[in-house]
Amino acid sequence: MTTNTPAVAVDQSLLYPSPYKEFWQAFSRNKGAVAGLLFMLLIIFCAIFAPWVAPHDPSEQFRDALLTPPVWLEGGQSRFILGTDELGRDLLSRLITGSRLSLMIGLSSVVMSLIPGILLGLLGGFFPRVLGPSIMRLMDIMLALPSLLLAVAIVAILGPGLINTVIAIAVVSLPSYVRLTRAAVMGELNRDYVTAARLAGAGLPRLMFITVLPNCMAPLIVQATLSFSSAILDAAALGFLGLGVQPPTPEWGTMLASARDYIERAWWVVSLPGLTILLSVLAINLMGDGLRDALDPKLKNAA
Amino acid sequence: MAVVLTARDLTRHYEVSRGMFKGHALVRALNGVSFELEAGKTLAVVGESGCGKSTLARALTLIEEPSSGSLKIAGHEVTGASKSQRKQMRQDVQMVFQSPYASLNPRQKIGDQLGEPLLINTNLSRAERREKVQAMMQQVGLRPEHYQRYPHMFSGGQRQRIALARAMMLQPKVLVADEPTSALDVSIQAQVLNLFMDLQQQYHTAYVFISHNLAVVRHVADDVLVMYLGRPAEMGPKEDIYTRPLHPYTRALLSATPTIHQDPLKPKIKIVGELPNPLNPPSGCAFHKRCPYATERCAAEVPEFRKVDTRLVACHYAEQFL
Repeated sequence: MTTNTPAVAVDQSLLYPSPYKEFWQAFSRNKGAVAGLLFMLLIIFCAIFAPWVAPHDPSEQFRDALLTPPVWLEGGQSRFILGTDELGRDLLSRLITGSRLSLMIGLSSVVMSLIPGILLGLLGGFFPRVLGPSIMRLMDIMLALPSLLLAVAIVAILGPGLINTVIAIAVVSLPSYVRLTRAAVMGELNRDYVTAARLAGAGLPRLMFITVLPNCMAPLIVQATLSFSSAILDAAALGFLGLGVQPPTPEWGTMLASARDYIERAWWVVSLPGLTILLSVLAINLMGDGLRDALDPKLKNAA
Repeated sequence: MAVVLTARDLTRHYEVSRGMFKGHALVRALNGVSFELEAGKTLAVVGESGCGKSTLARALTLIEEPSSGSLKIAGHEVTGASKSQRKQMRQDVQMVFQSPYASLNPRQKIGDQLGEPLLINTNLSRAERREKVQAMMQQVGLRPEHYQRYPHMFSGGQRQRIALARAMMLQPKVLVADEPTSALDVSIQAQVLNLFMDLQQQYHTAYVFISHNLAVVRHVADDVLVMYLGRPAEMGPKEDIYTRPLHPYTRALLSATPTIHQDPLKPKIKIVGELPNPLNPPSGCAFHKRCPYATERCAAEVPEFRKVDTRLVACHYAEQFL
């Protein structure tokens, strides 16, 4: 016969939900974000377990079944659910295996531009007289060049290949992160709470990363999700020019690019990779929106 | 009584650019302010907007270096102090800001914000910090469960109490309050002011209380410093200044305080015009263009900040008002 009423002496703060639980509650309130998360989990699952999930080897060519339509169309075969491409390779298997590279390119190029971008932006914002102008002029020069041209130039210097493609995309998307971070930092620096932290004796690293940066994250999260998708598309463009992932390797962008000749005869060869890119981009953006809202304490309506 | 804050001839000038070909101009935002402040006492700084009150606050809290003059905090000279000495002195001067909405970090929990000064400046363990924070929260009237909350969950008055608690965490010797109640509801103002005074009694902190609300100043201050265009106009004990102001500007300020029953013997003194442009201050006494008693001497000669009766006044004719 134990009573369920909490004792008076219980530390009230212990009754407060843990940060993870709190975060999940806020995140799950956004239905679109949850849908995006589920779709992304599916894609990530496919990427990790591609050899087991894919019905065929992605580079195996079925010479007897070139450009087979998907199974629900006239002439479709049940062994190729989404049809085959111009060389008779199973499209579903290639999409599943391709998710590995595409996600990798997106993720690594976002990380590789987000981290230096935030650092440069913070430095530019905190030292508006010394470092700021030189960093920003450098970014302006990078922005002045067409992004694809710059990426092509970088890949041409470094040599074609997957890692160099990622580096090129990361460099090209760097200026937007730097600009966003610096603008947000300069706005926040004049606020009283930063002065209060200074008065409390906070040093520069603490001011940068603990006081100011968390208040600048909202636009950065949105930009990161947006550039995740544009990274996939940029990688496709580079692949199309023969500078990215080389043809036999399945990758969504390269698949899209190499199938452009068949758009009139076999729409599925082009449309399905395109649709996959579209859906994952949408899912990531929805997720980013939800993430931003869930991480903003002001939008949480806890008691 | 120990003097904890001494300012001597404190000045702060800003260079402003006036456009491409015009060169720089000098704004004398703070022009020779001197005072002494004892532990447990409150000095109120009053004046209209743009008179240098906030610049004074920024200089006192070491946010900005004064252009010249000397500042002593708890007996240590600030100008020319090394970085480590400066860090030590910072702990002795804390500040409460005007807007409680901007002075708390929206992304940090209240407990973390209150614990931050301890984390940076002391070697206390996590549990000890938490205990101290909880004790301070109780003192300013917050409940223990507020520890985990974010600033946006609090009202303006509660936030200002949190800001005050944060400033008092290190038990500073001097607390600079820059219009701490002007953003609050009148009903909350008294509550926050009483909290200020309770904490002052307990910790024996010296307050520099910046305000333009003369009723509030009368409630909290021991001494009053009236400023005009970066210069001190009159400084002295509260009662003397309120009952018998000597500087025409102080008289005008006091007569502008709204009252329900207007004393017919005390005529309203109207000041005409605006605060002069600090880029181009008037010659002589800075107030002479708006002063109803101004003479030629006022336009020519800068009045000395001299002792008259029980206070210091910067007016050539202060004796006439005695």
